[in-house]
Amino acid sequence: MSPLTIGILLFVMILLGVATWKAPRLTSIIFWALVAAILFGAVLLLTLPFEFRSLALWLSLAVPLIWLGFQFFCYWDKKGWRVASALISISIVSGVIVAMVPPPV
Amino acid sequence: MDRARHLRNYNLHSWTGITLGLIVYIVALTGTFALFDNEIKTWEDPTLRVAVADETPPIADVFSTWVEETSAGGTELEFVRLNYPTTYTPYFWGFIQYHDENDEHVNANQKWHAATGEPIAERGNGLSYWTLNIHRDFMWPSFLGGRQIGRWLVGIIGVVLMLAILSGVIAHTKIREEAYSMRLKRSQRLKWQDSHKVVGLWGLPFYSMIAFTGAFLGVIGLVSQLTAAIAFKGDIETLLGAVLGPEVERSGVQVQMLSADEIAQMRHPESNAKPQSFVVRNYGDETSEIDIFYAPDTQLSTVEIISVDGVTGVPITGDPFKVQPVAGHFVNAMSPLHYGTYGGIWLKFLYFALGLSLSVITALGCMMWIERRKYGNDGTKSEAFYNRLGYFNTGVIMGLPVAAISIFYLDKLYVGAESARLAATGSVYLGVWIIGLAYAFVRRNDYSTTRELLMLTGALAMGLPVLNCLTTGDWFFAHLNADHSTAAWVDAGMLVLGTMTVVAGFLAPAERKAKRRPGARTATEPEGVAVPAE
Repeated sequence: MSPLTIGILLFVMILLGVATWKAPRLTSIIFWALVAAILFGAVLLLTLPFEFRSLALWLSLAVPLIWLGFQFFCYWDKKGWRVASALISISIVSGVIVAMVPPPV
Repeated sequence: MDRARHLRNYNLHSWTGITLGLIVYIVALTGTFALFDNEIKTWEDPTLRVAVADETPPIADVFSTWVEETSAGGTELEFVRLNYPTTYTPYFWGFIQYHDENDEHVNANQKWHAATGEPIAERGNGLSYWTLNIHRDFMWPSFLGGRQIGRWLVGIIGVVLMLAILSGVIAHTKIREEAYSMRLKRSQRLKWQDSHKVVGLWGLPFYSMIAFTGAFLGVIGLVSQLTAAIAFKGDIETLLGAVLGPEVERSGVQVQMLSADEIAQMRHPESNAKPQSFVVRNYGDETSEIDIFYAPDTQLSTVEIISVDGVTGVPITGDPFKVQPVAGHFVNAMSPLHYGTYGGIWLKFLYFALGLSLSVITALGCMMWIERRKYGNDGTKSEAFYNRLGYFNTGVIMGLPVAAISIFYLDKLYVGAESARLAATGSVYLGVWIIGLAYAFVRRNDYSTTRELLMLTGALAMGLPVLNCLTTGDWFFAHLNADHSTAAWVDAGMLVLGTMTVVAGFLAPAERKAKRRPGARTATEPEGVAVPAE
């Protein structure tokens, strides 16, 4: 990865961090809800004990609803920081599981 | 539910609506036109106003010659497809993908007349193409990422609409008590509020379904691919093999394939339906397979597919990837559910009415938001600011239907090159829309602008049958009972709809009846705090 790319990535991460700190609910509904939904969907695809084709198709229907649920949660919980923390935690844990579990085929 | 949570949820609904409500309106209104893209195709192109006979003429020689000549010199024929004539597409349509001598990917397509098999000259994409795709992907320009980006954006709007619906239902604490409450003799804002709530409530099943299916169709390409790619750590080939089955490699042995005419005779074993189209894999090779597409047995499905050996025509059995799982039936239902293709023309009319009501709800929501701040206690900005916001809102909302009808006129009056027809259509559409927006700012009266642009839309729609007659010679009255009457019914529909729109515009008020309430706060009073997004 070139230094320019690393620099841009770092800048984006810092921007994301500041945005999450200043406006946790807004940043979560725009960004973290989507990231958490995609990563959580990947975990479900890897870990649920169903026939792969059927599971992939069911999840294609479920992921938009999971995304919706996470977005709704952003303004449901009492504490803004708790919303951001929960979604970031889901993303990190899901990312770790995806990295560790091999694909089903 | 405690008050703070109720307020957060209400703010979520309100801010989702005001930031993205106009885009939801655009998607909803363009969707009501996109419903009828097949019908508009025959209005658009007089050569398509033909009846399709039950038995189609032979096409095998013409089709196979075209496939061989078009791909001659190329290295590999990847994809071969032929659509048989249907009521809405009364022509044969062939499509191939191949690699040319430079190994570049090339697409080619051709139409042939349904009765004679003669090639049909290509008419540039225009009215029906724009009408459908402005809804599907905003005709998103290539310099901003291209049409796929647009499709994802439209899908995200579907998710936003689902969020607005969910938060709206939860915010509506007196659903049962107010289910029939329409205080039409009260203030402007109350009328709009009651209409927004009542119409929103009664149309809820449709709006939820259309939002979910739209979100699915729009974002499925992005979200599901990302999810699966992450799960497979980027190994897309293995992922596709796991979902679609392993790709059958060519053996290199050339054989005589089943002809297009032989495939046309292969009726569905249960429904006895004729094939609508077919796709060939490994064309010309002994490992070739043909997927034959039939009209679905249950209408909540895009197609029914039977796979056969490309040489013998024997159905391929024992392949688990050819058997559709239960989840597949649900996924296949998304498109018919969204486009209303499962219940005939009367279902499309119902979808049209409900889609229009969704546009009205989103427009009312934006209007209510501005009304509260301009004439109520919630505004923190100046009156001039809310006026300009109102003009912008009205111009976008009322300019769009004028633009949508204006491209019907362009279609019939266009004299330029066919290759530039689509660009001209887009220019007129966006140009007329911008003029409508500018008119709202010049007129400086949202009510009069709404009234006048409504009447203009209606008048333009009523003029379409006359335009069609003058340019094609087809007066719709004479063709309503003809073998191919779709274009005539488009004219009739536009006449009726146009009349209703003119009447609606005439009855609409020319100005706001109640003035500002004495004592209502303006921006100079900081206590009237707009609800923050965070």
